[in-house]
Amino acid sequence: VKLNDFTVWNGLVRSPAFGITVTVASYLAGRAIQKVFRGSSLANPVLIAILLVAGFLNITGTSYQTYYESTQLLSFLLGPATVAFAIPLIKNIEHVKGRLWRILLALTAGSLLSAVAGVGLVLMCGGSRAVAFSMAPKAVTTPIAINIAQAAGGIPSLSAALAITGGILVAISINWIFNLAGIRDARTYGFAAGTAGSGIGAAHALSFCELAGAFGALAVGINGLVTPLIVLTLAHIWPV
Amino acid sequence: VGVMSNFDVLRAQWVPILVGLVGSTLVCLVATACLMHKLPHPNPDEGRANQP
Repeated sequence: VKLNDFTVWNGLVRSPAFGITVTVASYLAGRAIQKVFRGSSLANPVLIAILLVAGFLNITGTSYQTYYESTQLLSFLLGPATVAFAIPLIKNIEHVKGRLWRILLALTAGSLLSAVAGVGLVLMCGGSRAVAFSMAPKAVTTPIAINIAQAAGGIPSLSAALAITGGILVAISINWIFNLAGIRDARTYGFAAGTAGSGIGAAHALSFCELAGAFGALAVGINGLVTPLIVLTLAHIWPV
Repeated sequence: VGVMSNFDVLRAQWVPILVGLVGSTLVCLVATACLMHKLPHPNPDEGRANQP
């Protein structure tokens, strides 16, 4: 292999086109694989895409930092994509009217349990405080989880990874749990998916129907306000 | 993919991380679903039109 080949490659991996192409192609491959498995939740396209990208970076010897820098545009788009969840919510706003106190109660309980159980289970199993407070904000959307982890003494990059993994776990397990509980309400489905699985959970709910997606979006939005208060209060109770 | 930059932490504390992740996610999912389901809705059959 000539030196020029390496030079071209090094230039290529640092361009935004590299990160975007690898990420989007991996996600599309994930979608195609899920179709092969007849839409099975276990063949989650986000999880498949993560494994494909990690495998590609490993095989090509590309560092995560290089990949991260070439995907800045996609990271930036994460914010507007979360805001775009407001569209199905606005279309179904009449379903929210008259239910706001129930919604707030269910979300606060879910969010509180997520943070307390996350911190408690990590500490009970011998984990460090930094890991516990990386776990605590994982139910919120990734950009917010990163900021909360930073403020609470957690590890921001670990918190981002846990937020995404938690969302994938929700997408994989929610059908099984709802079938087991015999719950058949689209609003409950979407709201629980958005509260426990943030953006990935809400996107999963939206793939079923718009009403579920609307309640998922609502949960993601309110959770972004409630979880920081809960986690930062916990961090205050449990100082470094 | 950011997990790649936390391999050391994951290797050292994989049990607390796994238990915390699965436990807190499922607790949150079940608690939110049960509360939303049990609390009375103004029109209980409304959401069934588009059930998953």
